[in-house]
Amino acid sequence: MSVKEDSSRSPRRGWRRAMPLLLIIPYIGTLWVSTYASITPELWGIPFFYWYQFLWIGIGAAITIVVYLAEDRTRAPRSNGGER
Amino acid sequence: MNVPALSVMIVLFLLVTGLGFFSARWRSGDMDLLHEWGLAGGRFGTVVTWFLLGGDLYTAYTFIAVPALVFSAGAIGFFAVPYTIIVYPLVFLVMPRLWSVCRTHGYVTPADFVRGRYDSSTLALAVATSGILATMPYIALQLVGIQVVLGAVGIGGAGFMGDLPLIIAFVILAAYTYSSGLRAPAMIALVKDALIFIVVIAAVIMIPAKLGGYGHIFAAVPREKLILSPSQYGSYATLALGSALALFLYPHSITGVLSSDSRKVIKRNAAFLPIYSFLLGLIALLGFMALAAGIKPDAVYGAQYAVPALFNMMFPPWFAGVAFSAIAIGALVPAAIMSIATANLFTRNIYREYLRPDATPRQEARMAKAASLVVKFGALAFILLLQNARQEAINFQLLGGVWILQTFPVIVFGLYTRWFHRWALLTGWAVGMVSGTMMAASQHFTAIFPLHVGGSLIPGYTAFYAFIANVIVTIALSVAFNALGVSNGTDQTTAADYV
Repeated sequence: MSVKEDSSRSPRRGWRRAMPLLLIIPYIGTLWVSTYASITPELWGIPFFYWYQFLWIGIGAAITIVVYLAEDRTRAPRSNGGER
Repeated sequence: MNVPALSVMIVLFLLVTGLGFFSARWRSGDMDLLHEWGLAGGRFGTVVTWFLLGGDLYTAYTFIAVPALVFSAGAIGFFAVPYTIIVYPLVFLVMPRLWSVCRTHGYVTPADFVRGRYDSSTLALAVATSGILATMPYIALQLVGIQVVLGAVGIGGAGFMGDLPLIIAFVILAAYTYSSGLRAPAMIALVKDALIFIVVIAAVIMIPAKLGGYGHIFAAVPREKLILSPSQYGSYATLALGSALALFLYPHSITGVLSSDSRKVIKRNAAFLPIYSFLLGLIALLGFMALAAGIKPDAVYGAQYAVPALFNMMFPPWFAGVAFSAIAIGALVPAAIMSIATANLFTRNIYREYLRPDATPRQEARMAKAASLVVKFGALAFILLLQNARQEAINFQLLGGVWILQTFPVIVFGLYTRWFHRWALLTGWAVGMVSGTMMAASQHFTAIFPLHVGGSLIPGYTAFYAFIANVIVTIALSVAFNALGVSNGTDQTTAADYV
């Protein structure tokens, strides 16, 4: 059941191959603690520290979905023999 | 004793147990084969995998330990949120590679992969040992979770009765894992998650309504708990990062990954598992709700009693029973998956490798079932020996992280390159294990180590510091061994096996 990747790289797909780099963004957004460890601005009485991190759950998932879809399209032309 | 809550718990428990035994026949295979008992034949699709991995992640850790830390220590406990945000990009990138190489070569455990990749059963033994050792305190955390909710419905008391909830928790877990392997937890995970969703939605709507809204809740939290002090930034970031790097190295997470039926299933799950992270964030805030409701730490269970006490105060007794069942089953499922995964690891990489190389598949499956019991006794030993850590059960999970994170270079670096030398990886692992254990012991098995660098004090997660030491040693010795031309073994795998 070995799965082989398409080794031919067309230039048009080049930018799609760089998409996984987007996955670094959530690390910067959440691990740089000093940028968000504050009470203000509050949102409905919720301190910034908390609602900011809730927001990043959504951003993180959105980025993963974007990368997934980009990869899926890159491989679509040969999807019959590729991944299920 | 809270009779209505207890009755609801017993009914739900019987229902779930029945389901567990029934599931042994679901998509059935031969339970006497390790591959069937321990990986359910590798036939799980996106949805079942989502529940299974969710079951691994969202456990007594989520319901008891994290809110307890928020309750007692404040904002620092919220590190679990960035932890569960940044773990998924890593899963997305790394785990499909592991899945592919394991599928191609028929590897069932992470140590199988290590043995094939590095041609070293010693390195595989190191990985297996870390996995087994690290999972025991994680199971201990689940047992503490069950114990706390049993305490909340009034089972327990002084002397022997005080240990009764723990004994009950242990027996239930052991009995039902033994009979049906991985299929039982996967099936029960569906029920468990349905219960958890109901309870969490009820909790985050009803409780704030009774306490006057989220604004009121945050206003009731003392300022020093509401926000991190600058000296905590490093701890917060390293706790999140260290936990995220560690999570998918646990044998049980890898079991969840390997039992999925394609790479795509894993990638899709990396995109959809954050739904659980959102719930985790809300559950963490229950710690603040308990503060706002005026709950005090319990004499027996400490801060861990915060959430059960809050439920007892806010919910009608029958619904408190539903909530406690959700927590108890939510601890039982992952504890079962954990003990199955470590049993696989022991059987494949220690029993067959060193003790009975000629074992038949049937002997292997029997050995794995016995090993799953031994692992649970190990977990019990952690609870009894580390009374100090028991007061803050999250320390059990963080202690597991110290050990499992030391396998990161061997497994994850190994998925990308063979440049690192096998003996360098082994030495780095040993340095990480020993230094991590010593740092943890010096802090009485709590998670933060105050590192002195030059004149300044940088507190951070012990696992992360040990990991840094591990990586430095691994790199330095790899340069040396490669330069000296020390044999690096024969790689069974090829580049095409990973994609």
